[in-house]
Amino acid sequence: MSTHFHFIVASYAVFALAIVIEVTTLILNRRKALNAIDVDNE
Amino acid sequence: MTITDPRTKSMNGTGNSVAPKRTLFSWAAPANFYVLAGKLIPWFAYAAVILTAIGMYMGFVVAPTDFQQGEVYRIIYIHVPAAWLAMVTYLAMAFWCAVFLIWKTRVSAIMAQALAPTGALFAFVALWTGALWGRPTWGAYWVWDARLTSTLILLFLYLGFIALRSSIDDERKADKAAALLAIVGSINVPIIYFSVKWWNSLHQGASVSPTMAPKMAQTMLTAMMIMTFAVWCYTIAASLYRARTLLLEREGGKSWLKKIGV
Repeated sequence: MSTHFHFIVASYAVFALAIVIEVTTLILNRRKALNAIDVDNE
Repeated sequence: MTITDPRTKSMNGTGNSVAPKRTLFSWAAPANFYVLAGKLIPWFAYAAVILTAIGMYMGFVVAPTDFQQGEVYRIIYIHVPAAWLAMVTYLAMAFWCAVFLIWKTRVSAIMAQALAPTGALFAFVALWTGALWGRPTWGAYWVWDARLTSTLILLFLYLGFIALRSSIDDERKADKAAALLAIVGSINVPIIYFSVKWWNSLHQGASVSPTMAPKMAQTMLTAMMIMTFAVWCYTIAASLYRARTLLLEREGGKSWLKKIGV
């Protein structure tokens, strides 16, 4: 049977991309929230 | 369950210091939750990274090639954990929504809100990897099968929860409306789980069950379980991180944030 390598790569690539996007969004949103508090305090 | 916190010692009438009892409900206070979540996040994040590395090594190096499916079965190491997580996360979300509706604790509503995007992400990953596994094994990316369709509905429930919450400006009303949707939608989770038993399904039955011996090689099962714990740890870390951000957004300017040094 063929290894179907491209199906495995496409699965893991999208999984990794989804995690990277979520972690980046989490970090950016937290920075935004902290900046908003700093502006309020000033 | 009671937990004593030495930082919150107070004086009783005799002048001796007394540590007040801390109940589980104490963690519903935003300040306590914020501090606790901040301490837990690094542990779960590091555990997720280490477990993923071990799980990937076991899944791709140690586990053998499947005699029927060849190498493509290795999608199982993300497909199954993602599908389990999507279901369990939804139940956790519905649980926090129920807690919010009963006790009106706003941290519960925030936890439900924090779980939704990660749950949606794993529902999408389960569908995507399932499609890429289905093509070489079934000959089709998608069929309107009970398991697949109910998992697609789960993704729509997550997206509906997120959309409904963000469409209402009043935070309290948004929490209530989204909580009702989450609780009603939780009926879909047992439907997903039992769909392969209740209906004729192209999707295979459960490979792992509390009542049956596993139907796969021990190394395959070990790798899959390690990856499941990895995505569990990731989900907890990501949800707690998002919950802290949501607390900052909602409670910005309140005195407890200044007290804990934010």
